[in-house]
Amino acid sequence: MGKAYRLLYDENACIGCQACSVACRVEHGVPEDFFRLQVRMELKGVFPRLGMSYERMACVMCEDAPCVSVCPTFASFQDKDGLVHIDERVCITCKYCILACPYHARFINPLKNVVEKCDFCYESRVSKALLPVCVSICPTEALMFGDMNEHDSLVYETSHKEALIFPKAHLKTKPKVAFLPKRKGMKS
Amino acid sequence: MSPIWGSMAQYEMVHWSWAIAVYLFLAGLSSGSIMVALLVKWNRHERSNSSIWDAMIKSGAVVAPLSILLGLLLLIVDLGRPLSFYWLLIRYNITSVMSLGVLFLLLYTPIVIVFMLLVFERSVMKYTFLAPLVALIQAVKELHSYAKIIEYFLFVTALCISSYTGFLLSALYAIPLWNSPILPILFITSSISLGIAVNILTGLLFFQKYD
Amino acid sequence: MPIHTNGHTHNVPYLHQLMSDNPIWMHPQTAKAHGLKMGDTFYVENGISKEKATVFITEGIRPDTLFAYMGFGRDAPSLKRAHGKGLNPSKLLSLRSAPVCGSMITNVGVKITKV
Repeated sequence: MGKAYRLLYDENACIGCQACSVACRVEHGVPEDFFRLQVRMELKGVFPRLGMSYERMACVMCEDAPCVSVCPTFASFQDKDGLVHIDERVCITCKYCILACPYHARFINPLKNVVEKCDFCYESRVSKALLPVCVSICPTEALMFGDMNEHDSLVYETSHKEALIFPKAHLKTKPKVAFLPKRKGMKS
Repeated sequence: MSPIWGSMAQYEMVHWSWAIAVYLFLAGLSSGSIMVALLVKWNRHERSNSSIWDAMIKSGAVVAPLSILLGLLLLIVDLGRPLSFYWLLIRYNITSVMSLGVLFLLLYTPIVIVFMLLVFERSVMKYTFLAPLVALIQAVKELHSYAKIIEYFLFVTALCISSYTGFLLSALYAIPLWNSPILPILFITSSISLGIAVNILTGLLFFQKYD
Repeated sequence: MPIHTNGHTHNVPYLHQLMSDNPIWMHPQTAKAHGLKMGDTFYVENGISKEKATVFITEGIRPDTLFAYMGFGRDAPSLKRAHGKGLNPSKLLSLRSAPVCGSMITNVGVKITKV
């Protein structure tokens, strides 16, 4: 049975420290001022009744990925576990995939002149049964990663305990990343 | 709360620049021009040299190949890695409108160039520096009995070229302004109207012989 | 959200990419009272110094308070990334220290003047 990866982002635990963003940059040598991963924050409300909302902006590894269906040379392809990879050899940087991605996750790497995005640290970590760098470095354990086919995994248990929100679910891309929305301090 | 997540410049970049916009125009121009020229040829062409219909066919035969070649050059030059463009010709993804467009262009471009050579057959014979093309014309004339079929095929591929750019944009459902089923129809209509206008204009300017 | 540590890390590339400038946080009511819009330049002034700064309007600060991250407005030209960016709030702080514990002042009153 193939793997059904899932990444959970707990908005309640996230503090917006950007450690995941910097760790990703170090792990993959992302060029300066370009980001595979950003955590955005928004301050809501009027003083003194304020609240923060957090959002992780990175590739969500869609099951029905628009970037895969529009790539003319199969440079953007899905492997048997459903992860979307980029074949740098055949990417012609036509940028169709960048426009097609509803999550704005892709960008052109100016040094290598190919399209790049978050790849769940597949080659360096996940393929060796390690966790992605952002998940392992998060100081508040706001990120969880695992295989939904393993019923004793943390992601499986959490998915069945908590309410999940899939980003832009109305576009039917079936993302592998899900958010645990803010409960405003209430217990789950 | 000051933004501390870093630069958002990559999210606001324009990925398809003016070169792509000009290419869409040229693709529509080329296909519209040849479609109008073919329609005129099938319905209105009398053998006289001074009618506007004849001039429209001639201008279609010149405008179509030149604009599509210029458009293709723009596309290749605009790529981030222009020297890798040959991968487009090797790998085809049926679900990708861009890949289908490459296929249509591969079929359309040689035929429209041959069409130009056949329409200007007498001029090619006249100028000696175009001598190698005479052999090509003779070879094509062997297929004389298939001429009508090839013209219909050319018309169909031209229709595909003028509509595929509309499908290219409408496939991006993340962009609300483009995500509409009316876009291909819009592109076909504007390319035909452009073809009519340009054919008449260049016909009057360059090919009209005043009695 | 702390990106930089005290005044040490401002030239570090990874951190400089996340925060390279320290616009002063100001409540919308205060901004309106002084006729300032987002990104405007203005003077902060007290008995010690008068400095130029940029404004960042946010609800996340009291109407009677301003906030600025420390460690910006560096003078050393060899700090190639951090040099000259932002306001140096230390220039507005007094050098006097408390008599018993020796702690120094980190909050001062300032006057806002539009440029």
